[in-house]
Amino acid sequence: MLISYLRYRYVKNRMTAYLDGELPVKTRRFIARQIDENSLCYREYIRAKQSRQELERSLPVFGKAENGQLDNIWANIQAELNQPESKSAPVMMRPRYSLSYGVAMLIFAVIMLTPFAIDVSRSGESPVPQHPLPEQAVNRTSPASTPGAETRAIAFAVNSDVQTETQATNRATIPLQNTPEARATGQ
Amino acid sequence: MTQETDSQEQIIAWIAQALTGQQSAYAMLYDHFAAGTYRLCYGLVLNKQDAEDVVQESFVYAFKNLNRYDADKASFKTWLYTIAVSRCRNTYRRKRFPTIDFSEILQLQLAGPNADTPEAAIAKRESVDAIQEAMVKLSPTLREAVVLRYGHGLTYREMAEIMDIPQKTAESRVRLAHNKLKDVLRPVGRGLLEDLLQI
Repeated sequence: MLISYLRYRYVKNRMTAYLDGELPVKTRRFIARQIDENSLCYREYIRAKQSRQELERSLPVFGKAENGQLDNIWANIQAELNQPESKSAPVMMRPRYSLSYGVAMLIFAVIMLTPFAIDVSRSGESPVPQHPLPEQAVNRTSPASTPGAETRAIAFAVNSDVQTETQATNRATIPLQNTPEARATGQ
Repeated sequence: MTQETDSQEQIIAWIAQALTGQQSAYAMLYDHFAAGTYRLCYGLVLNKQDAEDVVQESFVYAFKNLNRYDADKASFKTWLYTIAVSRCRNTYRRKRFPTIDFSEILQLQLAGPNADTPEAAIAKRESVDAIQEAMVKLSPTLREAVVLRYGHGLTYREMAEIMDIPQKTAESRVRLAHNKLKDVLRPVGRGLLEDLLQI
């Protein structure tokens, strides 16, 4: 059954070429035998033959030119052929692709330079200032080394004094919990 | 065969004369190929005006480039048809949407003065209408294959040259077109006996 179906498919695919007489002799004989023996192949053969005959009968008639139509076309062709070809001064031939090449190079250059431009702009920016620790600031900068650094050092020192004082006051205000003193006071 | 060879020789002679500038040779070439080229173009573009334009363009191009034609490579018919098919492709590429030829619609029911019996004329008209309907339903590539094969009786090799495809592809396109056309074409009054007698 499967073999029969496969043979039918084979014959069906080659039926047009078979009818047109364009197959090698061996294939042709095989298909002819299948047409004789297999009813499906025979039906396919008849169907293909009918549509082929219909096409061969109708297509040569299809689209036939009407009377006078070809004469009109010929008149137009003659008119076009007899037109003197414009022999104007030779146009300076510019290289056709120069502009496109230029634009392409420009785009390429922009693409290549963009990362550098971004890096430069980033390095030009001042880094986000980090507030130095007061002790470090005091230790790192010696007042005598740079002019104006003295005031900064003092300022940091003052700040650090203020901070230590506030920390001390905070410590004083925070109630003590779970300490011997707290337990003694009954809290 | 001899007639064909004679015809080919005659065509080559016309081409040679045309190249020397004889206007009558151009006219002879046109007379010989115009009807076939028009049928080919109409079969592909399915529009009278477009077909006329394409025929005109094709002949003008062919005549202007006649010195480029090489008789050893292909017949003049194949060369001319290649030009025409290429222009037809340009036309239906430009016209993505189907157009309606009103002049044809108006003339559709009018029988020509030389028409045979009314029944025959009607049958012929029906057949042409069926073909037209079938052609519209086919894709341009399949249409090309069918028109070249059955409308002009070209071999697969010639078709392959004109369509610029391998021969096997031309064969398979004809087969595909056949499969698509089967449903559209309904042969009327054709019995099995007739078919068998024609084998």
